[in-house]
Amino acid sequence: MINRLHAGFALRLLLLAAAALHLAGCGSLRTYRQEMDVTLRRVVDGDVPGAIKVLEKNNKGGDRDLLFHLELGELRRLNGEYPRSLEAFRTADAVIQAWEQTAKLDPSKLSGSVASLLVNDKVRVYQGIDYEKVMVATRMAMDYLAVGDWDNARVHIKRTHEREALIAEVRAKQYVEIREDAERKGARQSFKEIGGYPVQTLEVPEALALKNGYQNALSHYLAGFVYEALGEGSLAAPGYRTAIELRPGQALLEDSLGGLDERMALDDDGKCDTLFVIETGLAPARASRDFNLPIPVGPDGRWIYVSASFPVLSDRAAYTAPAVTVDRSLGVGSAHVLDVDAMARRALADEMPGIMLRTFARSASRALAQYEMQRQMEEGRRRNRDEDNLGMALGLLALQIGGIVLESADERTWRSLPAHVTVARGRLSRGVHSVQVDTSSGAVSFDVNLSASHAVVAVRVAGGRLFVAPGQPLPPADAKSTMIDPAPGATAVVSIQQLDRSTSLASRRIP
Amino acid sequence: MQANLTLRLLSVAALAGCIVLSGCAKPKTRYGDAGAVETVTNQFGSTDLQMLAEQMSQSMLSEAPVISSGNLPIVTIQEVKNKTSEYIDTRTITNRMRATLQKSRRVRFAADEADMKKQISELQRQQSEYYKQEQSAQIGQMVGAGFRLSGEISSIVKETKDVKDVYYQLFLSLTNVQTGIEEWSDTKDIRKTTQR
Repeated sequence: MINRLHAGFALRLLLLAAAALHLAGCGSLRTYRQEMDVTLRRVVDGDVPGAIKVLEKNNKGGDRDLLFHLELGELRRLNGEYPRSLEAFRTADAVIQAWEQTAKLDPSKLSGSVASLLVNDKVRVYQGIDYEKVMVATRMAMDYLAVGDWDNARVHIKRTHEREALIAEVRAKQYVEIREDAERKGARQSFKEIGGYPVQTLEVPEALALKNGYQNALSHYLAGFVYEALGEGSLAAPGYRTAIELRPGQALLEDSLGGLDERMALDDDGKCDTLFVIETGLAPARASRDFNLPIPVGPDGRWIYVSASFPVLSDRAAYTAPAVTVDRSLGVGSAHVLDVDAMARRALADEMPGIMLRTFARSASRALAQYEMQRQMEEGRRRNRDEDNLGMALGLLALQIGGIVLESADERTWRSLPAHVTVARGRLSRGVHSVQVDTSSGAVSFDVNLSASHAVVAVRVAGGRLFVAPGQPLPPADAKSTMIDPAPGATAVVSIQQLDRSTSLASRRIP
Repeated sequence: MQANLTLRLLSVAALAGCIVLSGCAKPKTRYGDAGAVETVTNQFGSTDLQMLAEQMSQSMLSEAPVISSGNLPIVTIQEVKNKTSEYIDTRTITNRMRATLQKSRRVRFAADEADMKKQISELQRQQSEYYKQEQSAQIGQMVGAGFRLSGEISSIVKETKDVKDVYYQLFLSLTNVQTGIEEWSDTKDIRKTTQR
């Protein structure tokens, strides 16, 4: 029951909200989902430079926060501009490193701004969803691999698992605190308690099966591969082992760990251990949806219905792992290692207690103000004071309109990430090979010239299109990229980087 | 009434002061004792590394007959297998052991597998026309190790909502390369429990 607060206090809260809205600027009214829909439409149409322009136009000056740099880094990566992609990711990573510093020194400062309790969650400084914090380090490692810098790739691989460990420590404490706080304040904790919430979108089996919302097998498998390529077996083993723990029952992952010692002991046999990283789709979008929350107010326990917004995700689309065929006949073993779609659902489910707590606080103050105005209108009616009633009715209307305008869920997520990543790996003889990748949106084919002991070949299929990015770095003997895609004008990014371990670990082949 | 107001003003001023001061607080960096006990998290850390390496080195020096006999055996170090799910660079353990053992002047080390490529590369480099051949290292003069040091590190992790318990075990053995006889072995354990 909320009967101790006075309506005047609630009105002051609204004034504060207006002030906070003013301070927060347009951020509180932006619809990130719509902005990124337009941006990513350009990507799907094969116009990545156009997508970058739209992104930059939508984020001018002060709006260039962590999320802008994440999206920019990914779009530049899609465009094959790896050094510039790294530039953007470096800026994003610096923000996350500041977050890490705060998490280590004073985790209580991570809880967010007061403005979000008054206006909406969109005014909160974007700190990145946990899996995004991990993915930026992985993306940087992949960018470094794409430009042939295996040493710096290793640095960021290491950062990936160190960051994961820190997030694990912080979240273990925070989830308990949020739950206890919600229990104390009597707020609803589970999204299942929000009438009409599309529960099935968060409770998909793939999301429920995840160990947590921040660890992904791609980062660990890639760590295993890079450490192995650099001759560091004791670090490669936990990479493969953790990948198995996160995505159990996949033969490629188990074989990678089981055969590690054998591969490490191998002399150069003229083969190239080739890792194909096949990325498809786009990360799911969060959308703001309105729900009517009933809140008991006043000594008579009257139910006041206020409109509250919560983020929702659309239904999950089925995923078919792509198949990799080399030289038109040789199938390469593959494993589905990253399911951003499921992670986004899991992350949202994990965030919901906190989101609900803040939304509940905002809704309660609005409900109290509404209640007080209704009560005074009733009082006015009893005394036949029509002028007061008219003022109150207008006030009530303003309150409801203000609530509708301000109340909007935070839709921000890193949208340009792939929805799924599958890895395929094979020991191929050195020389030119024709590689075909069959995805649900079509097939892409390209030639690779393998000339070293290890190689990473990254392919991106964005939307229903495939394309070959211009200006991609190629291995020394050159890699020729061709298309036999059924979808004309299709879009794919191919990056190939090889490690020559046959000479010396210190002098690596750089394209 | 007046006193009450003054008290409230003072409280507000104190609160504002705290906010301002906390806003100005910056993380301080200082050098610490590298050997001090580190308990920041319950992951494998510097104290575990130092403890395991020191204990194993002492055990080897005092209990391996081939070393305590004073014969100055030549040892090569093989990679210690990491059987945990943590990214532990086991070379840091063996590197520290090697340094301790070498300082004891009772063991010598031959080039290990990881170092072999660099060794061969340097030998080959010295055979080039740019070097005085009489002063260059000659191919075919390397000395093989009589013993190999190998082992593994494993862990058991148990976790509940409130407690995380990690148990590490390092196993090392010293084997005679020619006979295959294990001359020495030992295990060292570490247990770390964290209450959340």
